[in-house]
Amino acid sequence: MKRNLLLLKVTLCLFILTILSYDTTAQDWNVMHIPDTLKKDATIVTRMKQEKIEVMGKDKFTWTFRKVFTIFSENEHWEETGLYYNSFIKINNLKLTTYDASGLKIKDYGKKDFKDYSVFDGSSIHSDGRQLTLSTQRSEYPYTVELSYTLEFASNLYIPNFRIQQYGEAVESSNYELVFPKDAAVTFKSYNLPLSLDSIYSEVEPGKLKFAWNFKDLYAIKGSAYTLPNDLVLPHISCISSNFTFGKTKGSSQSWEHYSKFIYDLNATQGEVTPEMSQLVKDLTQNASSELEKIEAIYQYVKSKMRYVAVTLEIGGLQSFEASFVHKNFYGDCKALTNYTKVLLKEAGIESYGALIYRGDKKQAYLDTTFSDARFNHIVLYVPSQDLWLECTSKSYPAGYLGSDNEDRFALLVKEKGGGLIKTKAYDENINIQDIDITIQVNDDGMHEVTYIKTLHGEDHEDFRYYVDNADREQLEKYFVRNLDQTPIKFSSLDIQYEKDKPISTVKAKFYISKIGTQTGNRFFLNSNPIEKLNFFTDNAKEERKGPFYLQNHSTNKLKITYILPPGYQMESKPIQTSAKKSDFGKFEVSSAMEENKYVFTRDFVTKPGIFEGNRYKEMMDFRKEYNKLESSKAVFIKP
Amino acid sequence: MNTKKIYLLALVLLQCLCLKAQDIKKISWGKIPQEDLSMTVYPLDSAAEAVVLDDIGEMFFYFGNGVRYTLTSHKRIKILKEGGIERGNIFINYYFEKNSENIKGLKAQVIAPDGTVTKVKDENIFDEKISESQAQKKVACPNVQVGSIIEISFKIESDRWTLPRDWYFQSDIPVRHSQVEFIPIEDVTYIKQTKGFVPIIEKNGFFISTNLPAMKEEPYISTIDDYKAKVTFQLHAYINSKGVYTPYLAEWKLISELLHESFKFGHRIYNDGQVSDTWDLIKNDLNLTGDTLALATSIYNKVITHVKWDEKYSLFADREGDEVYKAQTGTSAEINALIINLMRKANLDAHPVVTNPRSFGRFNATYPMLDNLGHVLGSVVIGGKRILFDGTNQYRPFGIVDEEDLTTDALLINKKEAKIIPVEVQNESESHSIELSLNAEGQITGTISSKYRFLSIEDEAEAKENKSFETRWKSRLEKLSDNITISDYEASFGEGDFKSKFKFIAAAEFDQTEDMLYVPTGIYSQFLTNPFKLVDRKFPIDFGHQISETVITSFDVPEDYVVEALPANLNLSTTNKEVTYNMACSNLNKKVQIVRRTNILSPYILPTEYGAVRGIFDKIEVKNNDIIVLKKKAE
Repeated sequence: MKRNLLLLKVTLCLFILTILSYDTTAQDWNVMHIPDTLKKDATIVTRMKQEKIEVMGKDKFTWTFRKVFTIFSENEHWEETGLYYNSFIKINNLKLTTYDASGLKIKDYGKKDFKDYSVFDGSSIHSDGRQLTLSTQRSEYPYTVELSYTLEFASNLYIPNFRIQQYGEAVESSNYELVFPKDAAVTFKSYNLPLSLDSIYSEVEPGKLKFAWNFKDLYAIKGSAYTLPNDLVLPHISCISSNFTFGKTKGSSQSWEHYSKFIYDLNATQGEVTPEMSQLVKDLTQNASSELEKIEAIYQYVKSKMRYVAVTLEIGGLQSFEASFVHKNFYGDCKALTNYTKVLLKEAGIESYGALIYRGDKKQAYLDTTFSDARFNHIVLYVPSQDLWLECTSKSYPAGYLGSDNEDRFALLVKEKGGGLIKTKAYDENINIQDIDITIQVNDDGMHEVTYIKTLHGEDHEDFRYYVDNADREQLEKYFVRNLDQTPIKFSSLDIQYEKDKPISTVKAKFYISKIGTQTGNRFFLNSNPIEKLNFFTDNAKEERKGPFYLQNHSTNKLKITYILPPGYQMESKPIQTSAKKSDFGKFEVSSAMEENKYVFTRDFVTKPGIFEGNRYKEMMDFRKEYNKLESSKAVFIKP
Repeated sequence: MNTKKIYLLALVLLQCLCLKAQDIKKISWGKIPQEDLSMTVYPLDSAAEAVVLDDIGEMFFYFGNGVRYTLTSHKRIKILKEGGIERGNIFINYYFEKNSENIKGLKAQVIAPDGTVTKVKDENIFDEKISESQAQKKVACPNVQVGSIIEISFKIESDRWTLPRDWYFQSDIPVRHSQVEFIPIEDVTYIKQTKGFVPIIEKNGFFISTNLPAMKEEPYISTIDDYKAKVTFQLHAYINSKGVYTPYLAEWKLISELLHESFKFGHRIYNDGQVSDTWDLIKNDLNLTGDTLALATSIYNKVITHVKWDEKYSLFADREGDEVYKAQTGTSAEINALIINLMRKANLDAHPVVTNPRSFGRFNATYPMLDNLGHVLGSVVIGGKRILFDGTNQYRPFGIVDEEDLTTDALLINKKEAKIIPVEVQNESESHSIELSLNAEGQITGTISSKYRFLSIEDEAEAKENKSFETRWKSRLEKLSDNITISDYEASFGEGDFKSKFKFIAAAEFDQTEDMLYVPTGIYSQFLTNPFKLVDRKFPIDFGHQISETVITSFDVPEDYVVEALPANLNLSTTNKEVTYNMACSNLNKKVQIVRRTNILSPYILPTEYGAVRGIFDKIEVKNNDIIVLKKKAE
């Protein structure tokens, strides 16, 4: 009897203890609990995410970040955690935990487990940018990563975007908060947010505002070829401050004009003219008979004497070296060289303005003109009296030529008052031209002599312009060969030049090739185009494309190939007479003809840019496939 | 004394002076010879964008809180073209961890052809930590123009006396004169090893080389550093405080003793306590029937499928086996040490084999150098035969190593003993059978059955497991069409091989006219296009292993057609049969079949043979793309 009672008591105690120890707040990262619908097209599923930006004052804000996400297969981007910091950013409370597929913890990592590297941004000789990195890669998938940290920023100049979703990322639930004192004057704008959204606004204390957004069950957005700029597709919230301090300079992003003034103020002290500089301008412009000639003389001096060296420390990221430093040392980065050129021009009586710009892929350069969130990475110079642009880091560009990585985008003029957005010139099919003329002497010994002349205008001429000045003969040959469809057996001559005052390069070459076709019995199959195919990318996705697509290329591509055949070759069949087609994506005209003992193939292809509806994707691909087929056609000859 | 004798004496003296001046060189700071200032082109290489005029070094050893050395460097670079101006940015790496190295007395200046000097100031010099142990001094020289000479001098103070820095004579631009003076302390001797394809004179402790051509990266070589002219130093022996002569890693035996004592090597392999947890976890799944090959294979497979290689090569295993198994990732030493230790626990005769990955520099059997060892493989003796293994890829069958492991020989370690063993040449073997036909829509369809052996197994096995076989084969078939649909893919391991089979449809048609049909036979081969793109090549071709490929392409001639022309058979071979190719075509019972065999028997081919090898691959490319002509039957 007693024993049974004891047993009962013990069991009851144990039972109660078990209930109590069951942690009902424990989060469950078992991957089985992810609904299948969320896994579709997803590289990762974000189980939970909490981001909070809290602005403390004019020159401080904190960013608290916590994210738990499950990775399904090998993926370098998500499995390497990299956290950037510099003299303005501090990383605190860094913690990373990994869990296996059933949700059991594998390992905890702290700051000491991360490797600390300096960041090579591709151009700076020295910067204070650094990165903490850690790889979580394992052999068994899926697994889950929990990452949390706090960043402290010592300036409100750049408030990061809330990035709700990246390509391939599905989200179970996420929550974003923006808290700021009224006088920090933070404004925000949201883009591409899903309809199923929950947003809250409240005043947490007098003078302190809070905005919050909650999201649930967001399906992954699939990446594909020819996507629109990310800012037009991915959901995000941009924030700017109308009242910030950077170093000792106050500024505002309230409008483009305000931001322009801030950059102006930051660099206002860097333009002092020394007597040597003054004398230099006098010497350079003494023989100039027009304003344009003065500009060209000064620009020529900067191009030939200066070299590009970037040192970005602290506020040096936005403030240039003094003009006198550049003058003495003969080097500087884009800000310093642009500032220096501007100062010299001013000394010659010519007004010019620095123009902030995003240099690189046009898709990344996209900006919303109605929201002054500045994301520039470069600066060029604009001379309004001539409507002329100058790329001051180039060693050889003609005055007025900015380059294909600066064309057709908005730039912000830096002025004390009235600085606004202005668009750089777009390079169209009349500026981007490739014109090729090839003659191939077909020889029975299999070594066919090619006489090759190619003239490049605009975008395509830039690489050759660079290589002529910076590569040796061997590298130049390698680069030229890389762009051909087959390697020459040997070169007789290779001459590459560029025009000093125009964006044009020419290549003249004589070389031997062996692969112009195949022979079976006494039949010879001649390739219409053995070395300069356009060979467009074509896609064979089975499912219809959902989103719109964006074509950027805008150029003219002309080619004429003349084969000189030995006597006795009889044509058995010819692939095409003339074929021409026009569409919204461009137009082409291809023809082949036999003239005595010469077989001539010509093509003229113009590509057109644009944004098109997803349901026209197949139409565009078919247009390209038709051209690719014509270009790969063969003419059949009977040999004697 | 007659004037003739005096004259003769003077001549002889003059000769001696000239001879000396030609080899060991002295330069003084700032005193640049006029010819160098006015040079506009380097006579030995007119295309050079810059040239190192003089690179003078001195490595001076001394006692000061242990053995230390200083490397003093005095260098002059002439800028000849625009492209060379970048060399005005100078970077000097050094180890800052635990104050191991310091850079002192750094000074630099830029001299224009007219003699004007621009000095480098403090504001042009930066110091940056680039990783946990290394830092970099960066110098941005002012006023660098075409024609400038950059002169730089500095001293590195170092405590890394057992493995002093290599001195590279060659660079990616030509070097006119490079020398280093090596001044050791008495009682401490070093092995000095010169490398490269240019003459290096050793004289009175100086190593000198002159008129060196530029050395640039090229494809299909193990690594450029193997070919750059340099001299390397390793501590050989020293007289210790008791006056006893102490050899330091002078022989492989000493290295193996050092490794055995090391916690991160010997203990990881020979102390079975380090894998006891793992053993408990896996022992019930092992094949303990007495078949030692099956046992070794099951241990190997258990580890490689559970632990993923983190792409790092190492000689020492930072963590013990149990921890590595639990973490599920490891370096090459950690994974292979774990496997060896488990095999030993299972009473197998397993031992480590120490080597260096090919792309890090060849393992050198003649000179025991710790620097030369960066990787550990495993070996186990089964049935009297030694089998090598490398667990860095979970799709690699037991008994096959990686391409990176294929050095000529390696160091087998048996506890404290060491022995050089050869690494057998391995083969990458693939054979494919392609059956073609035309479907009702006029598209090209077919079935491809493949068999992979030895080194070629792991890539296809991995493609099957991570489902990338579609992308893999679509890209292999892209010459046929860029729109390929793959279906019915199946693949599995067989006896020593891996087989795969699948169907494909290509949105491409045979070229045809009214009465002719042209069937392309170049569907797939590794050699559909010539892999050798360079017109000319300085270095040997190093495939790393043998390659054999057999492709059989066949199709049924459609009912209403006959064969009009078949390509001719062909046999090709290079002089010493380094590369051979056979192609034979037949037409039997309305089935056309082409058999093509390509064999590369010699993994290593000298640069003198490059022209012939490139030429043969051009011919192979043409032949692999033969077309078969069919004609419609006359009514």
